[in-house]
Amino acid sequence: MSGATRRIFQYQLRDVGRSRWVLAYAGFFLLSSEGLLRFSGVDSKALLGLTNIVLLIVPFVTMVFTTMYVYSSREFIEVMLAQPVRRRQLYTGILAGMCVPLLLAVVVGLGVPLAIHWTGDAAFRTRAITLVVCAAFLTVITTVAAVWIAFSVSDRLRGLAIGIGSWLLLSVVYDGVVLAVITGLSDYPLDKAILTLSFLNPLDLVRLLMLLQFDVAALMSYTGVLLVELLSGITGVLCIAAALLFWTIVPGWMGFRAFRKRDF
Amino acid sequence: MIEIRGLTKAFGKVPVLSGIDVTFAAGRVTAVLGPNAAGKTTLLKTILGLTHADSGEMLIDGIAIGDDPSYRSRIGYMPQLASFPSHLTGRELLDMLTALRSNAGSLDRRLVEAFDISDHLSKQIGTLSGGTRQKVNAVIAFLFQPGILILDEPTAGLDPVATGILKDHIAEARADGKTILVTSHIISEVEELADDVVFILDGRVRFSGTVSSLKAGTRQHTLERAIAKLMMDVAA
Repeated sequence: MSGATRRIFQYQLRDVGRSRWVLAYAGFFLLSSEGLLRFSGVDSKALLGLTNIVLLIVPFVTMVFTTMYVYSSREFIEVMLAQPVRRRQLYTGILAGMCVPLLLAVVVGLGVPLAIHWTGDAAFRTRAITLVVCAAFLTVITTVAAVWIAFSVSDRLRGLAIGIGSWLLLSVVYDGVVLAVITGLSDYPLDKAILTLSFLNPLDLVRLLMLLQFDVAALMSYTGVLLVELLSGITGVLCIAAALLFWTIVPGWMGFRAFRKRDF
Repeated sequence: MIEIRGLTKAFGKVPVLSGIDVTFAAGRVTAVLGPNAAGKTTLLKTILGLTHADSGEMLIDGIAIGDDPSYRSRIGYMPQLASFPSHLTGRELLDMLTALRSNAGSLDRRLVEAFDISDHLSKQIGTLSGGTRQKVNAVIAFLFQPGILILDEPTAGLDPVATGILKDHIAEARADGKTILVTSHIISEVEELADDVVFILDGRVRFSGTVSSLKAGTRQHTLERAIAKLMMDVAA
């Protein structure tokens, strides 16, 4: 990180970190994970419940918070752009300053209760660690996507609508469409097509990464069933991790291009 | 000194600046005037690199502005609406802007004293009133003793006392030989502050010269009437 990037990051971090929403968000995870772990025990049920909460809440809150935050800091960005700072430095500083507080909120919110209820059980450990890693990946991917949206769409309401729309599409509608494709074309061998479809949706990928830790694929989504068979083992996890990196880097680059070209 | 040659900018298909040629001289206050949506703010933002020009060139003290952002360390900018990260304190913001400049030199903090906002600087900016924020905005523009000041509606939201303080500061900067660009809708203010007038309409410079030559050329006694005459002449 260059000097300017680091300083923008530090101040953005401080600004975002003081927002009550981030504290409430961390508090929500603290309460819900502590509650689940305390009242339904440390078996796979509690972790599965937490997984579902993470898959639904993390992308939604991160998307809404980040887009709203970037839109409301437009004038501040103008002040910063009037300083002797490169756009690349400003972009990196803003992105990192958005990402890190949200990451901390999720990792602390999930991590502290998990650490309190830590057991020697190997399955619990793997699942707990995977859950925190998945939540972290979801946070980074959604932040990057939200920043891209906010810098490409100048109208705040349209940007927010596109953000929430993509969340709805990727986390709810997508599985339905995949299911319809599978049932509609059940006479054809579709495994590879389904695999491709899942890799096109980062939220599906994270769900998959979690599912590979539980033996409950059928409970969660149809996409999962086929893929657990195709992707079990370390190769599968590595493939998913590589795809998640792709979904971080490409929107990140697109967001930078949008920011560089943008007129303020 | 800022020289602008053949500057054009369109937002989509709408032309905003259609070939601006103008020079802003050092040691003078130049008022950039024009009706709403004439392209004043776009011109100022293009000088700052907030907006990318489609074509044309800009020279600051004779050196063409390129990709290197370091020229902006010589510009103090006061945007029309001051909005800062609401959870930072004013002091933190000033520290951040100082830290962004490796060779900040000595700081001009006199406006902090003059506006008497030292106490307010330790509060989170979100809790400050609009007028106090505008004072912070002014402090930032003058802080690094820049050779060029770009002030977009600088007195909007300020009370008469603060307006007077700011005007004195602008006059002092002019005496120091700084290049000062001001936009304002308050004609009396322009008349009080400005040496030169650049009048923009439909993305073109329709007049550029001293206030007195504008009055003489349009044969009007007040600046307000001179500008009105100018607008009617262009429309005719």
